[in-house]
Amino acid sequence: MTLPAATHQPHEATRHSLLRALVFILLLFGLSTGGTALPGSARADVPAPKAPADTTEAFADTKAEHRVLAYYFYTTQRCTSCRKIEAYTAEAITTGFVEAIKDSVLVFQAINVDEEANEHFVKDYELFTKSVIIADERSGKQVAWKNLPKVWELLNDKEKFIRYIQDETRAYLAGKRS
Amino acid sequence: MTSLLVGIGTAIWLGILTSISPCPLASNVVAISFVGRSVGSPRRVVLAGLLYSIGRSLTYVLVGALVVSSVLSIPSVSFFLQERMNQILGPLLILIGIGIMGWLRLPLPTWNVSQAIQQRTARSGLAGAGLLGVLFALSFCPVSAGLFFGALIPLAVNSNSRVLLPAVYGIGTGLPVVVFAVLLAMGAQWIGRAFSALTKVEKAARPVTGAVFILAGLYLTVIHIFGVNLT
Repeated sequence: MTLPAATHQPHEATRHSLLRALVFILLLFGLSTGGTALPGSARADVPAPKAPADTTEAFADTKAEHRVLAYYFYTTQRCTSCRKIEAYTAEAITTGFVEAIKDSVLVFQAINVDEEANEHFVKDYELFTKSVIIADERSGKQVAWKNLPKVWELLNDKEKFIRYIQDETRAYLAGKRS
Repeated sequence: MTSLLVGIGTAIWLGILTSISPCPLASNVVAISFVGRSVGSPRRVVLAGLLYSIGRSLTYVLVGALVVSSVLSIPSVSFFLQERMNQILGPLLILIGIGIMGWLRLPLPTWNVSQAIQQRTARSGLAGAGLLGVLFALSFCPVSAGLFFGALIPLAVNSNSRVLLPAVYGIGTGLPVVVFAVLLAMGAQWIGRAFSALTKVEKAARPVTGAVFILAGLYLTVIHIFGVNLT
C-alpha cells in the first residue's frame, strides 16, 4: 500500500523544485531588468537618433516669422492606441493644412523620446505618456506650447479627433492661443 | 451641485473608457477570471468585484493625492509606473497563477476540511480581489496614463474634488470587469445546472483562473521585459 506514495513522492518533489527554480529565475530576471535596462534590446534596433536635441536648432535654417510645430511623441514600446493617435494626428495635419505645410508654416514630426537625443522633450513638454504637442515659434524661437490631452478621450471617434487637432492647430496658426 | 454631478459622470466615463481600451485587456481578462471564479455564489462574485473596484479607487486616490500635492511630479510617477510596474506584473502573475494551480505551495491558507480555515481562506480570496485591484491600477499603460493624468487629475483639481473624482474614476475602471465577471459566473452556473455538473464547473474554475494568470503573465513578460512589439 505504501508503494504508490513511495513512487510519487520523488516526482512531486522534483516538480516542486523545478517550479521553485523557474519562479526564482523569472522573478530575478524581472527585477534585474526592472531596475536597469528594460527597453535596451528594443532600443538597439532603433535607428540612430536624427532629431536634434533642441527645437530651435532643429529648424534653425528656417527663419519664418511665425511657425507652428505639431509633434507626436512616442516611445519604442508601441501600442494599438498609440499608433492610432499618430495616424489620426498625421491625417488631421496633412489633410487639413496643405498650404501651410507647403509654405513650411506648419511642420509635423513624430519623435521617439526613448532615443537619447530626444529625451529632453520629456522635460521640455512635461510629457507623462505618448502625447500630441503643438508649439508656436516666432522668428525661430519657441514662445508657447500646448499638450492636447483630449486625444485619449476622442480616440474612438475619428471625426471628432481630427476636428480637435485641426481646431487647436488652426488657433495656433492664427496666433489665437488658449 | 450640477458641476459636481457632471464631474462624477465624466470621471466614471473616463474610468470606463480606460477599462475598455485595448491596453489593459490582459489584466482585465485576469481580473474577470479571478473575480468571477466563485461560480457557485454570485453574491461572492459581486463582493469580490466590489473589493476589486475599491482597491483600484484607493490606488487612484493615493496616486492623485501624491501628484496634486506635488510630492511626486506627474511625468516621473507616470513613466515609472508605466515601465516598472508592467515589468514586475508579468512574473508576478505567473507566480500567482502557479500558486492558484496548486503547483507550488505559497504561504497562503490551504483548502481544509476545517470550517474556520475555509472561512479564513474565503476571506483571503476576497482580499486578493482588492489587492489585484491595487496592483492593476498601479500598472499604468499609455491610455490609462493619458486619461488619468491628462484628463482626470485636471478635472479633479478644477472641481476641487481631489478624493471623490479619482475614487469614482477607479469605480469606473472596475465596472466593466465586474459586469463581465458576474455575467461569466452566471453563465457558468447556468451551464453547470443545465448539465447537472455545477460541482465540476466550480472545480474547473480554479485551474482556468490559474491558466489565465500564467498566460497573461507570459504575455506581459514578453512585451515588457523582452521588449517584443506585438502590436
